[in-house]
Amino acid sequence: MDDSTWSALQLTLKVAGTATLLILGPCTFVAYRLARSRFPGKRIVSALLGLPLVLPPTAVGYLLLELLSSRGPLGREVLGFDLDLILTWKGAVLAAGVMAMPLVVRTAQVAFEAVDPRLEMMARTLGHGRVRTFFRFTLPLAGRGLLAATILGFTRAVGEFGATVTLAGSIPGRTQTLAAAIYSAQQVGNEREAHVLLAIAMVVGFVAILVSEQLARGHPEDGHRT
Amino acid sequence: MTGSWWLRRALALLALLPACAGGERTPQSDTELMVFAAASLRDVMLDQAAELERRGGPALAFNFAGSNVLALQLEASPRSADVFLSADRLWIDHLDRRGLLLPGSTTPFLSNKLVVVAARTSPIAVGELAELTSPAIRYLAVGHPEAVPAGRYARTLLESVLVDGVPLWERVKPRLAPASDARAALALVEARDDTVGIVYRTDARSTDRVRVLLEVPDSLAPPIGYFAAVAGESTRREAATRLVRYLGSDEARVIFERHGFSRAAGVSNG
Repeated sequence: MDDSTWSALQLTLKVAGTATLLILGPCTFVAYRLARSRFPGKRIVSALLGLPLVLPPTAVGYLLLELLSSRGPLGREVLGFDLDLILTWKGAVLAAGVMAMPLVVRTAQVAFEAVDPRLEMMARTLGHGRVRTFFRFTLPLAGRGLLAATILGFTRAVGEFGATVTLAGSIPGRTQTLAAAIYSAQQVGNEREAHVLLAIAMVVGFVAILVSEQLARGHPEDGHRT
Repeated sequence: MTGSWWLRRALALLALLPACAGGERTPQSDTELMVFAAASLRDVMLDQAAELERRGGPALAFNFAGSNVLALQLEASPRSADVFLSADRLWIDHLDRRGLLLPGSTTPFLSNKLVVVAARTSPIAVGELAELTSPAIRYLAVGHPEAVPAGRYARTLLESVLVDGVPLWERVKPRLAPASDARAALALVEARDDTVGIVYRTDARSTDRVRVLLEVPDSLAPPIGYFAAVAGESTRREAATRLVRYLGSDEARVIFERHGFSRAAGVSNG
């Protein structure tokens, strides 16, 4: 494996890992609110959060690019400082995170909805506070679903292409992820590198599936069985 | 049981794919020529197409991308194009060697120039090429230097300029941002104020979001040649040959020059 292939793999794992970690907390919170609370505009919020799932990834990337470009609403001229997200690996994290977010929210929401609210009420009547109830009871009960949400989000982030190249470009060693490297190798007619990258992508995907199935099968006490 | 049923369905579909790809052309494409054209020719070729249509010539349909991408597409599906307009000789030769171009149809028809550009809002100034090593420059956007013609020209240029005995190319390599075609390099320049690009003069003129910092002097510039050729498996070779001839004509040249291209004179055929 030569340097550029290795760096593409490393970068992909770094970007997808960071994106997943960053969105996990907020997505879990939002998913819980969507599953449990009623508030005005809930449907609108849910639809907005789902947008990256249905929009073309390049549209999401372009939207981010317009928001962040130097004169955009989140650009240097308005903020007074540079978020440094265009053509950088942090930008790749943002793009991958935005694209993975709806999958994580939706899967986590289903996981929370599967937890019987009466169990939470019991915990509350036994004197546990809201926060304690959430962390002691709800979260473990939804554990397996949340794990699935995390894995789904991570794999989505690993495979993300359109939004990432639009915002972060495809700069070898800096922003060129596995997906972008395969596209680039194919475009420039570098068959050997494309084949190596393809093999790596398949191995990574295969391992991800094995690991996620192993986790899903593992510790039954982590989740609830019905 | 169900597994093998699905497998058979999938295999049957796979078997159909080549039939679809190589099948009859749609009626629409019977009346138009499919032109695979280098991305840098986009604006000017759309103008040429409008002009041809006005004169009652054939309608043109376009596939714009880096010449490398087009050549590989044409190689994968030789019947999908009638005319190939490449921004360099390399990809013409690539197809010629594989017998995918009509023998003797290759015609040099245009030339271009390289310029150094930055975003209009960028504070960066570049007075001479050696200043590309300035620490104020974060990325140097070029077409992919091994495949995209604009990038190969830029690389040839920077390899020929020595700074303290070292080719400039070696100095700027760590901050290269390779783009998938000439126009994509321009988009990278537009995206960040600390990025400069080496692009075609004609592409720089196509947008008001960049400004030219430096015109590459003729004494340093590698010769840039665009070539037109008829696809060997085109079903409309005569019309395609007429189009290639038109692109070398004086009428076509007026439109090319309006966009900043220069005539191909001086470009070697070899």
